[in-house]
Amino acid sequence: MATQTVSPHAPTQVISLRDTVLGLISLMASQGRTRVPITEFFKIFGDLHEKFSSLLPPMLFTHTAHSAYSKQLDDALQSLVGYSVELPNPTLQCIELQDQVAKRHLIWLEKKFGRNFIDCLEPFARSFLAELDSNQRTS
Amino acid sequence: MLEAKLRTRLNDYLSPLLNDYQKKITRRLEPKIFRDVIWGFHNYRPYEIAIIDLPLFQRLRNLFQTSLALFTYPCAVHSRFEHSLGVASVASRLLSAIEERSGGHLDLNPVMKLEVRLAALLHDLAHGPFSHSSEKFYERLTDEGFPIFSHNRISNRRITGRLNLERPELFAESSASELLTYLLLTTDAFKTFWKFVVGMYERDEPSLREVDPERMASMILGADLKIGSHGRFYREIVNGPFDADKLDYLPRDGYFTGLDLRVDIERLLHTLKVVTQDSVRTLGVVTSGSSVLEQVIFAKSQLFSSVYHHHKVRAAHQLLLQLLRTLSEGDSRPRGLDLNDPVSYTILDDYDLLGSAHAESKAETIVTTIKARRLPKRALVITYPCFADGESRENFNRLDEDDVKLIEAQVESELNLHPGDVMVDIPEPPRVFGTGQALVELAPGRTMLLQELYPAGAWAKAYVGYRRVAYIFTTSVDRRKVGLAAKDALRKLADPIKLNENALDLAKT
Repeated sequence: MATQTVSPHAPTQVISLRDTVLGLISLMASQGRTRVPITEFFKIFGDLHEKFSSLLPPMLFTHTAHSAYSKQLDDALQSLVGYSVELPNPTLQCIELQDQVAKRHLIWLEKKFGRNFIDCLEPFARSFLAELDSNQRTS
Repeated sequence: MLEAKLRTRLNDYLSPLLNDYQKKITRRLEPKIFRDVIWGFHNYRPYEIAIIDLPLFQRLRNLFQTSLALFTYPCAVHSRFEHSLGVASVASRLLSAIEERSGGHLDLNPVMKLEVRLAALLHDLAHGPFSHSSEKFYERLTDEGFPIFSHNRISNRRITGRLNLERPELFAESSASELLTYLLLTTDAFKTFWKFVVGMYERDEPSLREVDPERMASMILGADLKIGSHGRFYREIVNGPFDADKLDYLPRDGYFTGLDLRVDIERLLHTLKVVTQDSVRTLGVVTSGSSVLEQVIFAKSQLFSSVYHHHKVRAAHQLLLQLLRTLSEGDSRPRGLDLNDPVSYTILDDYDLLGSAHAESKAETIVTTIKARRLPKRALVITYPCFADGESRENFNRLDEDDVKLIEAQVESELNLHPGDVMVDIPEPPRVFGTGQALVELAPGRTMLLQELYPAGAWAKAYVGYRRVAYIFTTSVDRRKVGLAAKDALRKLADPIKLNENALDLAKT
């Protein structure tokens, strides 16, 4: 953050899972999905992580009939709560990110990792949104 | 393969140690009874005593369970040793309770029962000095320029932890110390030693012949690979949403720090249930057990905010990081070991780091400072109510290691302080959502996640998120001056972090 120059997305640049998750949530929020239920978030991430493995570290989800869980994803999400994304009342069961805040996050992520990083995340966000919509229709 | 390379190095270290130990042990006829302050009396079988008496296991006596918390909570001098014994004891209780509550409908596999107990006993075997404090340091070590562990948090595959890339099906979700424990238990030296122990005791306990150190080790990693989802509940006793580790350290750390934490484990034992869904057998509870799981979640959150993230504990942690950095730069070598080699963390203990072997070095100065408890003090406290606006909060969460170094250097240079006089400390929030993944049986065949039944996990997630606190510490006597300079440095960043007066007030400068 201290560097003010726009950095290209160099292959050796360290991108944390947290920043990837932030990018994903921000892209979804900028497309109107400002609230995502936490359990759904884990479940869909668990479904999609292999398809988008080039964007993610190796991950191993524990699946049950109700859920998917990964400690790494939990850590990444926990480090965003309260500062970069909100857990709104009354139920605290959803991650919330307002559109305006999402835009700021995307500008920062692009400045730090380059446009290519956002471009790579877009198909992931699209698939995520499609699954969210389809789950909502079936529930 | 890095996995093979590390295992070979561990093997070279273990081989003479275990050979020597093997010559000295004799066959025991009786179990040994230990009295524990938390769980009372507990029996350890003769073959378990052979493990407990290992110099490797005895080393755990010299690792403080709560690291440097003892400088804040003077009674917190309990060690990983008694915790490990306690975890085995809790694992046994969980197994017995499952069996008893099933009313004869669930026959537990005798081999798996032995493995669960042994894995519980051995789960912390490779913890480094000051446990999680040094783990944060060595998880960043590299091999031929690539990170070894990286604690799985790096997204780009080309530079993510080498070990995780090599065997994601095993290592992807494990911590650096769990990974080292796995490697240690799967060395030829350990397997040979285990065969020796089996040979000694198989007449008394025939199931020992089938005990597989690799399966025990993968339970410690939290991976089902060698167990299969049908036996997942065995693994979950060792590493799962409410495992024996948590059920031991919550009351134990609470007891030794003096924190009045409540986890009604006796109640939990009466509500355990192995839930079967789509041939996956998971450890769960019936509805009346859910409140105990909520206690687990809240007790963990409390321990973090009151103990592990207490400002004095974090100040001591910063000094420890300075010590590890100094030692890794070759200032002095504890027991002649190189701290850039992850294997050395499985050998050294807390006393090695705080010993007097660093004479006449920079390390000795740091050690003396820690021992005399001349801990750095708060110049600035950064927590939710300290931000002047939302954007500053977002910017703060974007700080990386380079930013932290830059802020420290800027403040030191502005106030003519020495390098290391200013320390920015941003602790990672704890993982509290995992217990919310436990299954609760509402009626036969009908289950829900604890998280969906009562959102305790999400409440704790919010509590921990908004309760997070970071510090700027200093050794300078003029803390207010440092606080003001740091506040100014944060404000002048490319993405500014504006703090209000709370940041100085909370630091009591």
